[in-house]
Amino acid sequence: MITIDEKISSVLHDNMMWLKGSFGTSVDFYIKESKFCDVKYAVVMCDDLSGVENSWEMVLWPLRGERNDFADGEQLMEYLMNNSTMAFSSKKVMTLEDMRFAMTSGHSVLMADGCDYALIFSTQDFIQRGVSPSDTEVSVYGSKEAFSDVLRKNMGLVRRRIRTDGLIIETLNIGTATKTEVAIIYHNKYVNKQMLSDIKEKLDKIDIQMVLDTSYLAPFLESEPYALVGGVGVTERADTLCAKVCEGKVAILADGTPYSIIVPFFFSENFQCMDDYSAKPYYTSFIRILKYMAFFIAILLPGIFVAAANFTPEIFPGKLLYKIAESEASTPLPLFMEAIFVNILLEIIKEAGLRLPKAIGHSVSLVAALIVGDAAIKFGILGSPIVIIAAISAICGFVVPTLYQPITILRMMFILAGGILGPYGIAVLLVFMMFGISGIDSFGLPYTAPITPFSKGFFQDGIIRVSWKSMHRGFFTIKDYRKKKGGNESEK
Amino acid sequence: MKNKIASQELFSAVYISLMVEFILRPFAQAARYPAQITIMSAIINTAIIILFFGIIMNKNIYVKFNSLTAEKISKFGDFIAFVLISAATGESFAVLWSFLQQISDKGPHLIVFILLTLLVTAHAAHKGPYSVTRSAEIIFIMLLTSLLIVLLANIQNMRLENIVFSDNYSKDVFEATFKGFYFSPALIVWLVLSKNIQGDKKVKPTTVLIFVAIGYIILSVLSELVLGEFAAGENQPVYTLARVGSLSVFKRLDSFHSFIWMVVMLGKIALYLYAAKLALSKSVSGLSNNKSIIIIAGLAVVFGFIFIFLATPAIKIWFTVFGILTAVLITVKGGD
Repeated sequence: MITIDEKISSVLHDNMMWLKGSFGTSVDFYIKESKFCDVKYAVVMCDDLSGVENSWEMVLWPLRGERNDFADGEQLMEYLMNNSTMAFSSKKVMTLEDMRFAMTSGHSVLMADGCDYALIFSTQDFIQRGVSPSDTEVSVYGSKEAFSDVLRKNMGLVRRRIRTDGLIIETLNIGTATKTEVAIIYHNKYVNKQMLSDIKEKLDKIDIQMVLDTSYLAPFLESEPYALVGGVGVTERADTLCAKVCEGKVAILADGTPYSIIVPFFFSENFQCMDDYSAKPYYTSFIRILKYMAFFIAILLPGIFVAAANFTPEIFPGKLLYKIAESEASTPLPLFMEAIFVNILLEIIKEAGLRLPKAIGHSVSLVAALIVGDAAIKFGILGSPIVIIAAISAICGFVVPTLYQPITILRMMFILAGGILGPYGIAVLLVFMMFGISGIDSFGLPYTAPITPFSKGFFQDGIIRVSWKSMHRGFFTIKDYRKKKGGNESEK
Repeated sequence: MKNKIASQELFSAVYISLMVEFILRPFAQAARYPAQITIMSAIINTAIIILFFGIIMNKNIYVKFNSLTAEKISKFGDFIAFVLISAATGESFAVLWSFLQQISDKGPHLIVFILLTLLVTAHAAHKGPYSVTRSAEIIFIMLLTSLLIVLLANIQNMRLENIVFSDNYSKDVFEATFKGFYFSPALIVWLVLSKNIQGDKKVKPTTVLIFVAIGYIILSVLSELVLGEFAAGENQPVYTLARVGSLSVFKRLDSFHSFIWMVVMLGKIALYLYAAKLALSKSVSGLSNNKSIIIIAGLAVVFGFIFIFLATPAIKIWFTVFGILTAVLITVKGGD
C-alpha cells in the first residue's frame, strides 16, 4: 500500500492503483493507458479542469511521432525531457501528493512504467471569470482591472505592472482538505526581511481545514484577532496591490478568490483609494478629511444624540430642543430604544437588499423606505429626529466601506453607552476604542501610524496628501519607516 | 526591544497629565492672587523643579554608592513610586468623579463609575505602553483643540482693564511660590517611563515643564482678562471660561470641553496605571502582568474611595514630599 507521502513508484500499476483509490469513483478522473515502443505509460488528468483535446494535442499526438526505441520508462521520460519539443513543466514530479495536486490544478500527468517520477504539462481548460472592473473598490480614473478568481491570472496582472527584478511571487499550499494554492508577493528591494520571515512563518503554521478565501488567513496574521479593526488590509485591485508591494508590504493571494490581503496595514489606509493619486492633492486632502469626519459621525452621532437628549438637553439650541421634545412626546418608545430599533432595522434592510436578487433587492429598499421613512413616523412609532440621525449616520458609514463592519458594531455600542451612561459612557467607550486601536501592532509597525506615533508621513500621504513632485523625493517604504520610530526595534 | 515608547509619546502623555491638573481641580483652593503673581510663582516653581531634575539626573552625584547598594535603593524607590502613582491614580478617580457630579445631575452611580473607569484604563495598562502612549498623542491634540477653542470663544470677552495688580508684589510672589509649589506625580511617571524611551533623541523633562508653564501662563492671563478679579476666587477658572465663552451661535461649549477633559482624565488614569505597573514590576520581581494589574487596580480603587470621601487639598503636600523623595531614590546610580 502506498501512503500519501510516498514517492512515485517505478511500477506504473502501483501508481494507478493509488490514483484510483484516491479519486475513487469520481467521474472527472480521466486515465489513458497505452504502450509506446514496448513501454507502458499513462496520461491522467481531471477532465473538468483539463481539456482532453489539449492533452491529445500536447502529449498523445507528439508521442506517436517519436521514432526511438527505449529500454524502459525512465529512458523514455529522460528522452522526452531532454530531446522532445513537448511542453513539459521543467520540474519533475516526485511524490504522489504532488502528482494529485498537479491534476487538481488542471495539469495532465504523464507516467511511465519503470520510471519513479512523472512529468506534467499545462492542459488547463476550465471555465473561469475574466478580468472585470472592481465591484467594491470603484475607481473613476484608475485601472479597470480587478483580480479574478484564478490565482495564476492574478499573478500575471501583478507581474505585468511591476517589471523590475525585485518582484518575487512564491507559492505554498494551505488547507488540509483544500490544499489551496496561496501566493506570497513582495518586492525584494523594499520588503523588510525580518517581517517577511515572520509572515512566512505564520502562514506555514496555519493548520486549517479549508481556505476558500484569503479572509480565512487574515486572523492568523493579525496581532489581535479579536479587535474590531486589524492590521490586515484587503484589496481586489491589481494596481492597489502593486502600490502596496512597492511600499515594501507583503501581499497574499489565494486561488479561488479575487481578494488579496496586505500586511502590514495601517488604519489611515482605510481612508485612501487609488483615485486619491489621480486627483489634485488639495482635493484628495479635503476628501480624506471628509472621510475621517464621516467615520466619526457614523459611529458617534446616534450615541451622542441619545446621550445629549437624555442627559444634557441644554446643549441643543432652544428651537431644536423644542422640536426634538415635540417629536419625541408623540412616540411610545424612549429615544434610546428608538435609536436601537431604527439602527437594527437599517441593518436588516441592508442585509435583505444585499443578499436578495437585485430586482427584489430594490423592492425591499422601496418598501423599507415607505414603511420606516413615512408610515412609521406618521403613525407615531418613530420620531423624525432619530430617523434623520440614523440616516445621516448610515450614509456616513458607507463612505469608508472597508470599515463598515466595525462602524456598525461601534455605532450600536455608542448608542448603548450614551443611552445608559450619558456623555460619560460615550467618553469611556471612545477612550476604550482609542486604546484598542492604538495598541495594535502590525508586524512591528504601529497600526495607527502616521497619526500616532506622529510622523511627517501624516502631511505627506497620511491625512494630507502632497503632490507627486514632492512625494517622490521621500518615497515611502516600510523599510524606511521601521528605521525611524514607532516600530518595534527588534524586528528591524 | 519590545515595549519601547517614542519620546514624543511620553511628552504628550505627561503634558496632558500635568495640564489637566490646572483645568480640573475640584478640590483645590482658589489661588487668591492675581495672574501677575501666579505667573511669576509658576515660573519660579518651574525653575526650581528644572533645577532639581538637573541635580538628580546628574551622573556624578551618586558615585559613592556601589552598584549593589544603588540597585537596592533604586528598587526601593520604584516601590515607593508604585505606591505614590497608585495613590495619584486614586486621586484622579476622585477628581473625575467630582467633576462628573459637577457637570451632570444624572451621572452614573459611583460603583458603576469606578468599575467602568477601571475596566477601560486597566485594560489599556494591561495591553502595554502603546495603547496608552499612542492614545496620549491623540488626546494631546484634543486637549490643545479644546484650549484653543476656549481661547477663541473668550476673545470677545477680554478686557485689558480687568488686569489686577498686586500692591505687595515681592511678598505675594514669595507666598504664592511657597503655597503653590507642587511636585506632581506625573513627574514620577516621567522618570519611571523615561527609561523605556527608544532611540537616542530623548525629550528632557525641562521641555515638558516649560510647555506646561507656557500653557499655565496663557490660561492665567486669559482667566484674568475675561473674569477680572473674580478669576482669583475661582478654583476652576478654565471651566468657568468654557462656560462663559461662545463661538457664533454655539453658546454652551462647556459640554464639548467637558467631554474632552473627561477623555484626558481617562488617558491620565491609564498612563498612571501603566507607570505603576512598571514601577511594581521593577521593585518586585516575579509578578505576572495580570497580578500586577490586579494589585495596582485594587490599590487605586482603595485610594480612590479614600479621596472621594475624604477629599483634602493637603494631599498635594503629601504628593510633593513623597514625589521628591521618590525622584531622588529612583534616580540613584551606582559606581565605584
